[in-house]
Amino acid sequence: MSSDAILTIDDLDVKFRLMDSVVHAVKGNHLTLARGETLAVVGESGSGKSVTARSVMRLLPPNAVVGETARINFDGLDILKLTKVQTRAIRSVRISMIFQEPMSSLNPVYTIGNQIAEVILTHQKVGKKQAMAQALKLLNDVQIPDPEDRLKQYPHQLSGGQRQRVMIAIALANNPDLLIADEPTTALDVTVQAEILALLKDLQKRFGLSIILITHDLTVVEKISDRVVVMRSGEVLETGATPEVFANPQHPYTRALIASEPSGDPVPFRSGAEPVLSARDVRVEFTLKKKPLFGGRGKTLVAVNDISLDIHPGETVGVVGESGSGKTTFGKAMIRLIPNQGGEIYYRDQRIDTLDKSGLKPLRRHMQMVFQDPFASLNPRMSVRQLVGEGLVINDVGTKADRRDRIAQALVDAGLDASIMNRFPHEFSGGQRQRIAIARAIVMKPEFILLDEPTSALDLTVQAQIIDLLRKLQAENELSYVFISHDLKVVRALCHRILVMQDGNLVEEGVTAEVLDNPKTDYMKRLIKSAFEVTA
Amino acid sequence: MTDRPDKPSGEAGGPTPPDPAGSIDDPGLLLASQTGPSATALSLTYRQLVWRRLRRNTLGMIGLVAVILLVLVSVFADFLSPYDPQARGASENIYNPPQVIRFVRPDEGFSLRPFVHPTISGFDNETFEVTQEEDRSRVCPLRFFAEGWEYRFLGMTFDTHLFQVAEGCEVNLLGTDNLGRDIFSRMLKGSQPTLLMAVMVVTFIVTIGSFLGVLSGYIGGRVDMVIQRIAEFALSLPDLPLYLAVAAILPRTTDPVTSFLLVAGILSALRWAQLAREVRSKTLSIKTIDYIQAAESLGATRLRITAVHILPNVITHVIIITSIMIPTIILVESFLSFLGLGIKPPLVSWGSMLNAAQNFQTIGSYPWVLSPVVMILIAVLAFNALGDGLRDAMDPYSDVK
Repeated sequence: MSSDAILTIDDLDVKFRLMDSVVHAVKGNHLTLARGETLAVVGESGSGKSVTARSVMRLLPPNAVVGETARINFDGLDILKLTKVQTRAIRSVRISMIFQEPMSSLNPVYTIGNQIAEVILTHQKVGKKQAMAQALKLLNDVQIPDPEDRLKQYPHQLSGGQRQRVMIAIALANNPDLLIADEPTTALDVTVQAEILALLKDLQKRFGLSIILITHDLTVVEKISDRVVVMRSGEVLETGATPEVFANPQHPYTRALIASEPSGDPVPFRSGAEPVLSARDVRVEFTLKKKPLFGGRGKTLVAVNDISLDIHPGETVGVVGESGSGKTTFGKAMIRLIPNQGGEIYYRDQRIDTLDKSGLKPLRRHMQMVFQDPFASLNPRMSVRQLVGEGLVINDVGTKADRRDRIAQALVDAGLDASIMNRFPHEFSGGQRQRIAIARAIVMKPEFILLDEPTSALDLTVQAQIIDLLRKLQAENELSYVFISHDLKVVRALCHRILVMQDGNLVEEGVTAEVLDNPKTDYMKRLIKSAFEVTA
Repeated sequence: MTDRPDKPSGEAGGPTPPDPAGSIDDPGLLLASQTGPSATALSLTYRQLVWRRLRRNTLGMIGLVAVILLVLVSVFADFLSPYDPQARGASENIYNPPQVIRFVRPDEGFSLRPFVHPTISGFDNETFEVTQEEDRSRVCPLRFFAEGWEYRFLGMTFDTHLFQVAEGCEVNLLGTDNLGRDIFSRMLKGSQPTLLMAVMVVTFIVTIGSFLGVLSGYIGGRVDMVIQRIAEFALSLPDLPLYLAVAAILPRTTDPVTSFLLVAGILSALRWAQLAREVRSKTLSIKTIDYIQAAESLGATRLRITAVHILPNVITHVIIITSIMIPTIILVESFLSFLGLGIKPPLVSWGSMLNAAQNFQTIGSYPWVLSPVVMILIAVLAFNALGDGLRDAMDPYSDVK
């Protein structure tokens, strides 16, 4: 259609051959990308968005089969017909890619300067000195502070956001025309995320880059893309200019996707009741270096610095902050999964931070926890029934038949079918696993559940369902939650009060709406800005 | 750390293909996108899954079949042997060459009943060498399930053997050794101490190694410190000088069973530490996975966490190590017996049979004394293939169903 299309993909069809089955990952897709445009490819995990982008780089694993009628035309070149040598010449020079994980994409044993220079030396006929000079310029371009010093540093000396900037510098080293960014900000903190996106946008303007951005995050899409492609199970469902798609989505799936942005209000709770759980000046320290036997001093890190919190029946308190701010540590200390070095913790009227393991055991059932990663929190060797029923067995609740009924009820309450009892975790998707984890918590009929980013590992539509489920359970059972999250949208939809943490300190506290509408600290303002504002 | 254990390394960097396990979507999910093929399939237990995956692995299955055959051969060694492995042959039967089983008789033509030609020794007057040739004029038909020498099995005495030849004939499928003993029979019998040693040593190593490894990894602190220092001590002992020293200390009159047990003991004492370390590191990584904390938050005791959550996840590793350690033990045993330190007569093992093949002249003139090497090779390869197959099949995150 448009004459200045830099990339056209026609009839792209990719299948993966597995041991005894074939997975149809991409089903006959058409895509066009104009020069200087940012195209966002959105979809849930398994929708084929990454596979589509990787086909352009010819980076598919060996068991992938590309359909015979497929055509990828990049600026007049038929990508799929290129030889290996030609492909190599295209990569990085014309098309380059940045990945999700900046930790594992950089080699820890070489300096930053070396790694950037290497890419330049492979593709350009320049000397080492000149390559280093170019590397310095690139680091300037990606706005890393003190670029001269960075050249001589190693990846571990840089923060996650800086590493991603280095990755971008490497991707831009040979002035490519097309940049493919595969979830470039997913592994980063929200505030850093916004900076990286702004940088990409800025670089695009300066160098006339075309960008394919793969993401599952609609906020990111809205922020920086010109056009958007919505994919599901290998098919393109909708394409269009970003503002139009957001204002007037055509396909029901797109509509559902946009609607699944967390919304709604927290479940009201009756005030005036005695708190379920209270923390008084809780302090948690980690020993980084033991005190040496002879002289010298040990080193400790204060992860939670004298924080107090009361949680009432039916109330949800959100704990927000960047990674490393101590929010999970605080949550775990409250339910005594981590010992505290100072302060007092009460369950109802009973002080629990002085109790030992056996003293805590009868109280454990009142305080449950749901973890972030549903893949790690379920023992792969146990069936659903064993997983959900473990607490009942440990605490010797009821007879075998009673337990069975309670497990079935918990599964149904968590929105699952009771017939899945004899299945194993590997048979379920992430959302279902998280439901199993929730069933494990509610089967104990707890009064308090610690939710440690329970939705951050999940797809957007699933995330919305889990939030609805949590609200429903709270309304039915007058549950109290502490909700740890860095996602302020979810926090606004679920929490009555917010605690903002930074480096182990409590920096702000208050009713959700007040804190979000009227933040007092710069830190909170930054968090809010990166979470809600469309233009970065 | 929320790393998943045992994540297939191939998947780490590459794109993740759509979940091929065909996970069923959330019930009640409005947008039920892919209803996977296994949505209605029967749910399999872990053991069934492992078996299914193993069955698809050709090499692993060959290994499994070979291991089963080896064990059967070893159990029924006496039944399968035509001769008492200890019985010396007549003086003209020393270093008989292997005989070929034939079906075509010189006079009567083809017959379904196999036979062998007896060997006759002669003397070459020019080269002064003993010559051994088939006597084509005589036929020794094999008699199946026939009576032969007596042996004890399960406390009862039997004398039936798979095959025998008539009185006055000899059948030495793999020839005879320097004392005229049937190498085929000795080779079958020799599998017993070799495999028994391997099983004993590995059982001991696995029990001690995984117990101490889990203890060390899960409890940590001072216990960990002490166990690891002991393990380092065990690992730093030089094994060969130790075997030689033991061989030198033992009086010549030592009971062969005692020296067998002693070798097994030394082998176990030297090798548990490696496994203990591996299990410890595995335990350490499992300890940080969320489901351990999930169990703690339910009030689980340390014992329960160890037994229910850590052991089952460590055990795959242990099983794999086991199947890889057995061939090592077989090799070490053969090596020691070859040097004359391991298994002593009247016990016979593959290694001690090779002890007879220590000089070049013997190997040059009578190469069939090397036949136990083939058995060692088969055993080592079989266990290794099985181990590889098991490792692939037991990975809980493997995509292949």
